[in-house]
Amino acid sequence: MIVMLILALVAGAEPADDFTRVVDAIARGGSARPAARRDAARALAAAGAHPVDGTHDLAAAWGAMRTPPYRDRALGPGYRQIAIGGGSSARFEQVFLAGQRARVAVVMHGNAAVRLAVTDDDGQPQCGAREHAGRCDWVPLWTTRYRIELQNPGSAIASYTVVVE
Amino acid sequence: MSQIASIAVRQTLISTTIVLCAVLGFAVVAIGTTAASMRADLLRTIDTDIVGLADVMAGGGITDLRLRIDDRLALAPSGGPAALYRLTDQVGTRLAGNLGPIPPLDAARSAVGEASTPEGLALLRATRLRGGLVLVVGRSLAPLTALIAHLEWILALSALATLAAALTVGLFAAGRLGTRVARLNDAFDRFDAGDFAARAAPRRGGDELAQLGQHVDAHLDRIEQLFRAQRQISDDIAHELRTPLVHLDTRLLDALERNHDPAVAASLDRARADVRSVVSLFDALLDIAMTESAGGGMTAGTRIDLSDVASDLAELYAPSAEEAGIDFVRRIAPGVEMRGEAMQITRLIANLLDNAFKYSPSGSRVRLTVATGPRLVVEDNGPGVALADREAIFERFRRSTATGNGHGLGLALVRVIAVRHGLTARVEDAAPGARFIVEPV
Repeated sequence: MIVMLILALVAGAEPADDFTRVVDAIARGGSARPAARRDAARALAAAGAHPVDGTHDLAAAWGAMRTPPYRDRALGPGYRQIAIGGGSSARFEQVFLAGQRARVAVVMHGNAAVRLAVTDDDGQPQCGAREHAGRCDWVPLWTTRYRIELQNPGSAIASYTVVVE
Repeated sequence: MSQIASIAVRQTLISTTIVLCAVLGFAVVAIGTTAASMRADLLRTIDTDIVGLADVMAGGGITDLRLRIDDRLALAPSGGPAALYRLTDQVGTRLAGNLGPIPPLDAARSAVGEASTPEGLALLRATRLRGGLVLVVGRSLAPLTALIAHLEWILALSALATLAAALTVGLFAAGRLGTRVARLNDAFDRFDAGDFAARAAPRRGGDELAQLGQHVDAHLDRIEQLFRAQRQISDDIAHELRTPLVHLDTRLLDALERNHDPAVAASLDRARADVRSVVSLFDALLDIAMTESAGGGMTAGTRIDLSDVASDLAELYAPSAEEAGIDFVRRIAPGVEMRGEAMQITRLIANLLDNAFKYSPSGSRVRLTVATGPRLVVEDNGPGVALADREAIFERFRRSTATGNGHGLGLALVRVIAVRHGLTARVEDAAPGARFIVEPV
């Protein structure tokens, strides 16, 4: 662990945290190779990532132990799978704690594109510059519900996995 | 041998210490992991509560939030950790909850901390809600503290039981092992003390110690045979060689008495001197052989007064010294005792004095010193012993290069007797002369 940290610092890279590992694992888990899926499953389990509200447990589906789902709580790394028709959008709400770094990342499967918007309970956008890249990173001023909206700009149905922390 | 000096006991104590450290290490890790896990669970419960209340706030505003907090306090399940709430406005006035003032927690960062409450120590998270409200949600740590205390007791009792069991079993095994090793040592001790029948007598077959005991007995058998063979040879020399030489001397004496020719008489005298020399050589060799093969050291022998032995012997040598013009100085401390055989010690001192007088010319000085220890010193101011010869002169048939007289066995016998009494014999430069020292190892 210490060696990896030193190597990362020497390389000038930011050490990967659980959120980044979960995003990477979900992206890798889309691979058809069983070994890659098992690696991704182990990474999800190690990071303590949990499925949110009815989403399949990807770690269990890809070969690791089943993890209990989160409901109605401030999340550690959690993920939700969503399929959106062409030109349509989907939204869900999530509570984030004041003063704690909040992050949302959308893993797009296939060639799908996405537009991501996060707004607070007053409709104020929380991040703008990077939302089209499928990432949003901000520090909430209050503990409240935030609305996370995904829009599929394409014409065909696309599936996404949204990772939140 | 003290118990702590026993290898088996030391191994038992080391093993027990390792086991105890392992149990304590496990206890620390188990308690630490349990406490951290329970604390994390408690924090997740608090966070879930905060999320629920934040939803209430978002849906129904402050009024609903106060009502829900009151509901939760009213319907709090018994048995679990007590729930704690505190809702304050932007100026710090409490709007709802059962928690009084708490140490400052940074609500803007949703900080987590511990604080003393009427319910005992509690884990709290403070977070900021819209409108400047601060919501503090907590759970009492009393159940966790009680569980940890309970775990500590259980683990402490387990450690004590493990320690007692390990010590009991280990010391019992060490005691049995010690008894068996003591039998081996006892066999050696008794054999060394002259009991040639002493054996370890282990049971046949068995483990490594039983096999070692069989080897010990086989070697003691062999040593006993060698001792007996050596004694037999010594007896043969004494009876088969020494006796004819004595007869030869008698015949030479008879011939000398009948002879009236001075030249023949001179030849017969030289022949008698040669015979006496050979007899004395045999005597010296027999002395050494008998001393070495007597079996066992003399450190456990009878207590003798070394001062008396040395004084008596010095009295015998004093006239000869005076006649030879040698200043014989005696410094004998009274009451110096040691364990051993008086005859052998007498022989040791006599050989050292013989050696000193032999190498001391008229007008020189020989000093005999006896001190506590026991320490016996015979010092002369003769030619001394060359550095290269100081060890060799204690070997058989080795003489100092200064003169060629004698068989070279006197000092060899000194060393053999000294070793049998647990002493060392050595020589050093007396500048001038030689200083022979006999003292404990």
